[in-house]
Amino acid sequence: MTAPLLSFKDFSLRLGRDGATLVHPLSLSLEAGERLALVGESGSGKSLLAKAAMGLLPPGITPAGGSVSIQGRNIQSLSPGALRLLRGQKIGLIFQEPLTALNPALKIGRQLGEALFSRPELNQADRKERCIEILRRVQISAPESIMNAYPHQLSGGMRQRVMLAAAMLPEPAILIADEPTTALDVIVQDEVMSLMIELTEAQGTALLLISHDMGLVARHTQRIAVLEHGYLRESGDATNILENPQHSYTRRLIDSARHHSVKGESSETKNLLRVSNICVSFPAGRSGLWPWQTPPSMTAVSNANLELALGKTTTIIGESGSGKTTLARVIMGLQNADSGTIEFKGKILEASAQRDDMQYIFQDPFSSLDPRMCVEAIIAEGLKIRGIDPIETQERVRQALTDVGLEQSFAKRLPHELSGGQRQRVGIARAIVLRPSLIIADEPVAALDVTIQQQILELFRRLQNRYQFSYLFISHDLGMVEQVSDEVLVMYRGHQLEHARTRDFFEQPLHPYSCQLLNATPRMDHQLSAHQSIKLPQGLSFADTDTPASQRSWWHLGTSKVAVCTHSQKN
Amino acid sequence: MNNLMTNQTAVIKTAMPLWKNLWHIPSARFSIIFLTTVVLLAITSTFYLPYDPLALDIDARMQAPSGEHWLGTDFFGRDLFSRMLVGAGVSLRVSLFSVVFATLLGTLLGTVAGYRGGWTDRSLMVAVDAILAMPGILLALVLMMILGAGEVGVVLALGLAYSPTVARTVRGTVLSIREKEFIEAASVLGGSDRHIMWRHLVPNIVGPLTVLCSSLFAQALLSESALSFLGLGVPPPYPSWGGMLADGRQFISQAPWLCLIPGTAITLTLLAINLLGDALRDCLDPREGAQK
Amino acid sequence: MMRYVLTKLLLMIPSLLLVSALIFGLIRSIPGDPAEMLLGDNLNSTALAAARQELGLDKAMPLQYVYWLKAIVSGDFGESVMTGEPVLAALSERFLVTLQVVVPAFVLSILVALPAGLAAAYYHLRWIDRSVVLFATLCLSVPSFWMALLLIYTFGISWGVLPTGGFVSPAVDFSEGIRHLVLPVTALVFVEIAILTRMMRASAIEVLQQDYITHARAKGVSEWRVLFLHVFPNAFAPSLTVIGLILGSLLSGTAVIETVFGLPGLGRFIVDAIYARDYPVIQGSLLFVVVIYLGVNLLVDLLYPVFDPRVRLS
Repeated sequence: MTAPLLSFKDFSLRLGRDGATLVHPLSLSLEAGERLALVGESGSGKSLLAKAAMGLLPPGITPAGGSVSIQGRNIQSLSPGALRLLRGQKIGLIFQEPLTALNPALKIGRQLGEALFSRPELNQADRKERCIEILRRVQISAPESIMNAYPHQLSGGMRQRVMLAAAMLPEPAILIADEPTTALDVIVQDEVMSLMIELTEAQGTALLLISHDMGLVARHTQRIAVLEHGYLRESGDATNILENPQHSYTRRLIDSARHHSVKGESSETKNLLRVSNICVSFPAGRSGLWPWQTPPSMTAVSNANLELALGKTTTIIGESGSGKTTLARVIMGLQNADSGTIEFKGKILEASAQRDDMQYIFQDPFSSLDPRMCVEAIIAEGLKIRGIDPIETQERVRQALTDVGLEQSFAKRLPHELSGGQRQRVGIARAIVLRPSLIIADEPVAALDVTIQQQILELFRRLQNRYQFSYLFISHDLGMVEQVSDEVLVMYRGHQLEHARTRDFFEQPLHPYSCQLLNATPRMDHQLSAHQSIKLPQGLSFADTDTPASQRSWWHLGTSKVAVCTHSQKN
Repeated sequence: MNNLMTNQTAVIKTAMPLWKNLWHIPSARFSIIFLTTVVLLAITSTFYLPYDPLALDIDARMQAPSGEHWLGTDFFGRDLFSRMLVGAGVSLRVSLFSVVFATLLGTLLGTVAGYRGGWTDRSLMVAVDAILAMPGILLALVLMMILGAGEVGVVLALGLAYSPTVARTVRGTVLSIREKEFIEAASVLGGSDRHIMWRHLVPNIVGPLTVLCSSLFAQALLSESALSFLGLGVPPPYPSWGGMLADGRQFISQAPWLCLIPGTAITLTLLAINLLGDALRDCLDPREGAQK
Repeated sequence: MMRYVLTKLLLMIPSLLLVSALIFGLIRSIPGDPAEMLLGDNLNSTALAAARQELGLDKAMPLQYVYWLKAIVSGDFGESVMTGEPVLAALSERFLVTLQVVVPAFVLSILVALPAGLAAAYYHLRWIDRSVVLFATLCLSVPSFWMALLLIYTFGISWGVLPTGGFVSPAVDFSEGIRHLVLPVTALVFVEIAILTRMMRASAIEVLQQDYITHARAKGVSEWRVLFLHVFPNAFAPSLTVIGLILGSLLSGTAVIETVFGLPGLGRFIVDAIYARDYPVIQGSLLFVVVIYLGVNLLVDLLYPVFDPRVRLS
């Protein structure tokens, strides 16, 4: 029997010489050509294990026992030089954040070339040829010019492809991918992931995929190991674990990936918000040298329309740069629109008017709370601004804390003493304590761990049932849409493409972009049930981003509306 | 009123562990003890000064340190120990007031520029850059000529020369805090500009400003000594450490202690302030805080 | 590139106008009449009036400013009230002396500080780091004039191996010139090393935590290459601005050192002029210093993209 490609034997990690244990003793192995997933949330130790496998543990974290070996060679006993050679030849590594994983000061070609240092037999020309070849394999067009580009000149997806290329260049035996697609837009995620699978299969490379996303893992790997707080909860065959999870934590993880719609059909209610023909543009690039030069502008939102009924939820979905956040900010009055109207509770809102009956929940629970104010002061701030007397304020703050599921003892804590989920609860409490009719929430769970996401979404649902809030959510995550919203609005580069009831959207998406979006999202249940896009009647075609706003119109089918234009106009 | 109360308690809550953290850093502890001792000595010196620091004694000129004159005497027979104590008061007082002056003026300008933005910001920053383009010590020298030698002159000159630095830092901090979502959150809650400025902006500037002030204090002490050294600081016969160093310069071969003592005092004080500043920055670093 | 430089130069004009007005205003606010100082003992009203007319002091203040500016633009910085020599010529002569002290000190401090800062960051919190930080903080705390006096006492007086002051041009007598420069350069170099080392260390520590460093190591790149190709350029870019500021202030702010060592440099020149209320010299040299400062900073702006390609010259 040959030694496994990568194996952890009773391996554990701790902080410093005798600090806290970060990873408790565990054994795990990866065979050649296999695809293994390490699943867990932040603090589970999954990334540390990957770094330990390469001998790249951050300073201060040391192995506390056991061993890591690659092809039977214990990496702790290797000399620095031998370890370096091993890394260069046998292991490739991809990080989550394509923005910070490439050196901003070096050209792509140079950074790619470094991946071949462990192959001194190659000459300069050979190396260059191999780099261009691999760039072509990761579907980068014009690889020659990319070789001469700096990282900041590439998009996130492109950079992640370059990372993949660099990792696969020396034809390693193992590819370690640490949340390789988490920072990317849904459709790009799918493309990069498929490329990664394709390349590893072609080269016979084993894949160690580190992820928090059970959906992604289910789609791409054969074996799964679940980590929580540094403990290996269970490991084994992927289908086995997914169908018959033994540990409660595994079940929770699977649950959070298996989105089930809980919103029932409901009767029509009173209209709360009507947004008509909102257009927003931003100055693009630097303004001119002189004040009278008008800077070039870029359209962020073009002709957005939206209706929201009392007690209902609409989610605006789109990738980065789709204008979803801009639209929400315009409604909240944080941003001025170039044109269009916002009708709220039957009245037209002025751009600068104070939105007394509307509140906003921010994406980042770390920067949206003043680090110097305690929880109580944060929640009470809005009440104090409105001149509510201290006794009532105290009572309402207490009620709000209870509502969001925080104990009263949290009142005196400072934000840095709270976890991400607790912070977001404080953010929600700050909004609901004012009892607004409408709550706008920009990616309210995107920064949280998956199991925490579930809890927060559950909280949103409970609060809506109790207080009849209307929600306008902004999200890039279809799972969230399915769980909490009544209606979906799809945006792409400033344009609205589809507006539909949630169920209709998932069962019968109309716009080709919606289909693409649905197919790209890894899901546990109806796997790869490729959505067929609808054929439009003669003379009509789906509007794309180049279609001017004036030539767009909405085409209705059942409850859905899709942006279309006629063929003649499109050409 | 009530608003202010809660805010202060919140600030104090973060300030408390800061002092505790500082005390746990050995270098900071040394600095705090050293600086407190110097300040206390300077303040209480009037009660036990062994000699009049200005009194000339021709018979006791240039005596080496002895039991009678602990640190020796200078060219005019003045007791060096007494002069060092009084000089400490002068040097520290001048540095402190000039930093306070620079901080007040600079914070005002920086906050207005950072918060208003637009043309206010641009014109203020052009002016600030223009002043920064002139070397601080030369600017202070020219200002001293206008304001006249003396403690008030030094304070105003150094304060004016340093205020652009403060303005720049405060403006940068204001701009970065303005980007934070909690500022927008406050405006969503209906907070007015004034509310946001006083309850969110100002409390969050305090940390970076404290660090800057500690480094400015060191610079002010250095510049005060340099000005006195060049003969444009506190006018003789009043003692200041820089002036004493300059006086001793001529006698460096005959009476080296005349230079050695004030020089060592300046260096040790600067070292204490710098170490304290480093410790302060470590304690106030948001990333350090996030880890705990 | 050319366009960028031209735009930058154009943008310097309003700042220069502002600074020149500021300088002019400041100098005129200094109490004391230069005409009286020029005449000294032969003070009578007709001579005073004549002197004032000659110096242009009888005109209105804004008019004086305009005349001064006009002269400056045509390269005429006026003549020293005290010595009568043309200001510009005197300035350039003095500036050459300052350069001979500042440039070696500056180069030396960079040569020491950059490796020291990198090493400290690389061995973060180990003994190398701790001793570098301690040394830098110590250097930062020793005033340059105090360092100068210590050096004079040790090398000049106690051991008598080096001259205690004065200036000999290395062009005239090379070895003697160098001997006269050793102590001033040493006195200057320590503070600069301190500032630069701390700066370099701080930014290198930050860079070392970046993903791309781990990634470079994961590719099997050697530690030397990681340090020099990946850490250095990224850590150096933010230090570059500080280097510009230091050089700018060094070229004008060495008045104290020049006084201690009796060097006829620019800083000493300005201080003497301030004492003598030599208006044309103070005005001219302050403006000169500002132009040098702005020029150095322009150079830094031009160099920046070499180390950080994200910043484009456009």
